[in-house]
Amino acid sequence: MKIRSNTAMARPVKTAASGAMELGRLSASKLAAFGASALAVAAIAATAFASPALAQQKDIRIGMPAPLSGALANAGTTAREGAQFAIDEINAKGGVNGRKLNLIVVDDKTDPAESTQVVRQFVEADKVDVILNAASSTGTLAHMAVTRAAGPVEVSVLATDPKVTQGDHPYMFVAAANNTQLGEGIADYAAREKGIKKFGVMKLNEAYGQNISKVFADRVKTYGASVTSEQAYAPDTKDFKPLLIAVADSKPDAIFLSGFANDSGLIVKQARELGIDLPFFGTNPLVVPQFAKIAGAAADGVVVSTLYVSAGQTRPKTVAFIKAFNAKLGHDPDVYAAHAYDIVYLIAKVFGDGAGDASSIASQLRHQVNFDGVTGTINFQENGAVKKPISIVEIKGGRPVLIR
Amino acid sequence: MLGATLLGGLAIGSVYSLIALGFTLIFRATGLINFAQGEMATLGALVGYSLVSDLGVPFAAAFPLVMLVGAVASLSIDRLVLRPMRRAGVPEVNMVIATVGLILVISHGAKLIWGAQALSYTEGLASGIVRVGHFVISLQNVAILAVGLVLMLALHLFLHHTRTGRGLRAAATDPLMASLSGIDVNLMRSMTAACAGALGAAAGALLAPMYYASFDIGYIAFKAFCAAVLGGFGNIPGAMIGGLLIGEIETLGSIYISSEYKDAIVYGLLIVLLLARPSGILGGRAWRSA
Amino acid sequence: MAERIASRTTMVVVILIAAALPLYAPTWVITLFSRALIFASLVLGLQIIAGQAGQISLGHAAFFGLGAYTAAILSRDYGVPFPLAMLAAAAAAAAGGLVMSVAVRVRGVYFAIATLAFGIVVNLLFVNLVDITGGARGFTGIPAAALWSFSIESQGRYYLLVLAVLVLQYASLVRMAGGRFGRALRCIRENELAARSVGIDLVRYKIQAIVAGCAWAGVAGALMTGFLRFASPEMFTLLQSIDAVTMLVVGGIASPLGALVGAVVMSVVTSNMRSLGALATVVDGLLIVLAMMYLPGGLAGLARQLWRRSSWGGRHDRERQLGEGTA
Repeated sequence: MKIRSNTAMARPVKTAASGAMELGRLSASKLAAFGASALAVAAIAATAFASPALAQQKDIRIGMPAPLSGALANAGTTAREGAQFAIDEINAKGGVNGRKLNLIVVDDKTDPAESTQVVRQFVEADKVDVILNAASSTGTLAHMAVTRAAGPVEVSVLATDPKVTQGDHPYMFVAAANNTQLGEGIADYAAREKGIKKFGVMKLNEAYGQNISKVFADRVKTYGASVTSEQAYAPDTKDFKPLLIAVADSKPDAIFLSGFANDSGLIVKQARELGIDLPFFGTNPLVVPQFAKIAGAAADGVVVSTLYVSAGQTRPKTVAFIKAFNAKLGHDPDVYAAHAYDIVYLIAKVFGDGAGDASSIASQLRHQVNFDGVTGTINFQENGAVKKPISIVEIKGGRPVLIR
Repeated sequence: MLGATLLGGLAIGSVYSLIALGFTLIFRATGLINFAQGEMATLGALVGYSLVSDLGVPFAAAFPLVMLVGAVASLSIDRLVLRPMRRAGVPEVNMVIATVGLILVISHGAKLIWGAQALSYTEGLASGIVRVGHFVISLQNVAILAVGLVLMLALHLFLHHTRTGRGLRAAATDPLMASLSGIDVNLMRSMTAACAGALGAAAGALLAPMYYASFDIGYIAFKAFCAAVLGGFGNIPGAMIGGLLIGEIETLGSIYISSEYKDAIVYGLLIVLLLARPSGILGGRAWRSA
Repeated sequence: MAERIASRTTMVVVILIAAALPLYAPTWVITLFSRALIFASLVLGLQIIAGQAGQISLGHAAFFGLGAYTAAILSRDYGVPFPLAMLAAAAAAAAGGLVMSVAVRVRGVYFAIATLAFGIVVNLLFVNLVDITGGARGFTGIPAAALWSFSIESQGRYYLLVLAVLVLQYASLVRMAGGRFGRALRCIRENELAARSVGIDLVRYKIQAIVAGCAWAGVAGALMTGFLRFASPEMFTLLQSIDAVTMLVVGGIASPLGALVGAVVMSVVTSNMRSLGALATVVDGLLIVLAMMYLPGGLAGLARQLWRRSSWGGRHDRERQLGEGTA
């Protein structure tokens, strides 16, 4: 019975395709086809406009704007994984004071205007209690205006541009160390500890790359080192050999990678192919498995500052987390998943301690002392930024290994 | 090192050329710009990945299969979407926008199947390097260039020295006369679409082992489109030359001129060239009103 | 005569309903439509270039961005009041359009490529002139819009501002389409050779169309800046240019109504499919393909056909045809 009605729906479209499609004349079949699509569109639109008060009022509603398509789709997807995993864990144990956690994830398409609309709908239509913000830095900078006046509180996973916490926003928190800390961390290691004096910089010409390469360059200069050459490249560049040649010609002692896994993986691979065997330094985005997969053997020896890495963890809490995550999802949690996990537990804690509205949540978050997360100890500063120790890892055998 | 880079520029250029040829073939046959050509490369790259890295099929065996997939995909698009629109006399700009819609369908459909992550090939066309005196030559680049040239040569031979090929050209040049001479114009158009798809998929399968396969490889189509226009839109040798040229200009541009504006240089040059020689380097067809 | 009054009444009614939105809708619906109307303004500009003059531009987002950054920089760094910033934005975008209009020497696909190239170059300027635009990290701290002492900070008021600008734009475009300039443009679109033979200066008209269309894109950019109070280069790329062309063609390339309908419908619909994730984009693409296959005149064309089939519309049509002697 069901099959028959499906083909009945499909038929109008088929006859319209093979039959009369004359311009200017509306055949009934054409109208039906369009009508069907219009109904589908209307239905979808209606579901969005309809206030989703289907869930119980008792639930703690967490809105999560995340880039599920566009440039940062990888990070958004794994962040969602981590968040959902944490929520499932908590709900299985009965929730928070008997209230279940309800995660609402919406794709912000890595677009600032879309991010703003998504957050606004979270606040007004979905009436979320708190926001687990996985939007990019630019998306966050655009949408923060929505929550500045009256909340809800946003706790961010990816928005590591320092500008995010410089905006005097009482309800914005960033649970990951920001770009300044990341950049300075690796600069300290490379220039101060290792004493390297001349750096070539491969600058990814978008928000993260522009920020972090400047932080790195400024920091190494304070140790008397210099940047011999800075080569900028567009986000979807695949051929780096001309740039590598230009960098190598300037005779640096090491090369700094300011980009993400895909581009940096190609850079390192092509450098080895060109016979350039200078040491490479990079930052957080390179600890994901993608980097080693793309770079192949060339990934080994790359040293990276990071906020979290699963391999080589010894903290019992983190080890347990990785084990459980792996058991359920079949792979290790990456840095975004781990942070999202911690944020969910942070939220659960403040709600468990009785916070309810934006100001009490914000105040409780600020007053958390040494929250024990899987990504380390979390303490929020007054401006919502977090001060966390940076780890330095080296890629060995394709996996990141803690060295500091 | 310069030699290696120049060769690299040619290798990428030959990938652009293959996709540009796809654009050109379809344009000649139907007067239409099919933007979904880039997605043939996406399919080629991803299907190739599945064959080579997931199923362990040797690259040499996977390559023709990948081209077949591209041919079928392009053929399906022609039959299911473009032909009905042609028959209904829909304006050309509408057909072009339909192909833009197809870009979304194919690339994000690919994302649903293969995921958002970049996927590395376990085996490529060739690997390793060879030193000839001062020059370091990447065998992979040589192989890509070679395969690209072979495919282009095969296309040329097919179009000029086989009956079917000549039929394709006849149907493209003058559909009315061709059908009067007994050539099945629709069949010829379908075959043209299949060829274009095969070439596009080949491009993807050549490109991906060098870098990686992912659902958003298709953006490369815009550079290939520029290559096709540069060489003279509708001109087959023009597409080949345009692709190689753009590959080289890009490469040289980023060595000798500031790298932030690398793309600006390529495109700026394009604008200048177009203004100086409006029908492209080898002279192409004028665009029928759209 | 009756038809003119009828369609004018319809217009007024539509505008009144639209203007009343802030009274009955929650803020998130208001902002959804503000954004949709800003895109409508952008696509209306494109309609002059692509729909009327028949020159498909793949670089339209560049002018959106030129307007946006001009308004942003002037209002934040130089304290220029919003209305003046909007005019400056239009001027800057128009100037950019003038530069790009050297491309009218080439036609069709070559023109499209030239505009595509121009768009990419301009976007690179946004990304790299970090001291002026803030670079890829974005331009923040844009002050709230104000009409002299009247603040337009609230979303409801801003929506009304956007609506007002849009109504002005639409009215002037409809007038233009019906006037000598519009007719000349359509002549050029239909048959350039014939147009030239009746003495139409192709180059001059095409340039004027481009400059006009780009100026309106600049206005839309200023509106976006005031709305979002943020700008970043990723908002003004080839993808957005393609989105604009898609909205125009899906809505119906031949008339300003098509531009309006296409922009509003697509922007509202794509925003509401967000819960579907990647599937949403596939559905989006499918809808575009289906619309192109079955609605050659776009949504506006469909609306017009339905209008003619309805009894009132049909009568209006027959009367008009009788009057024109084309029945």
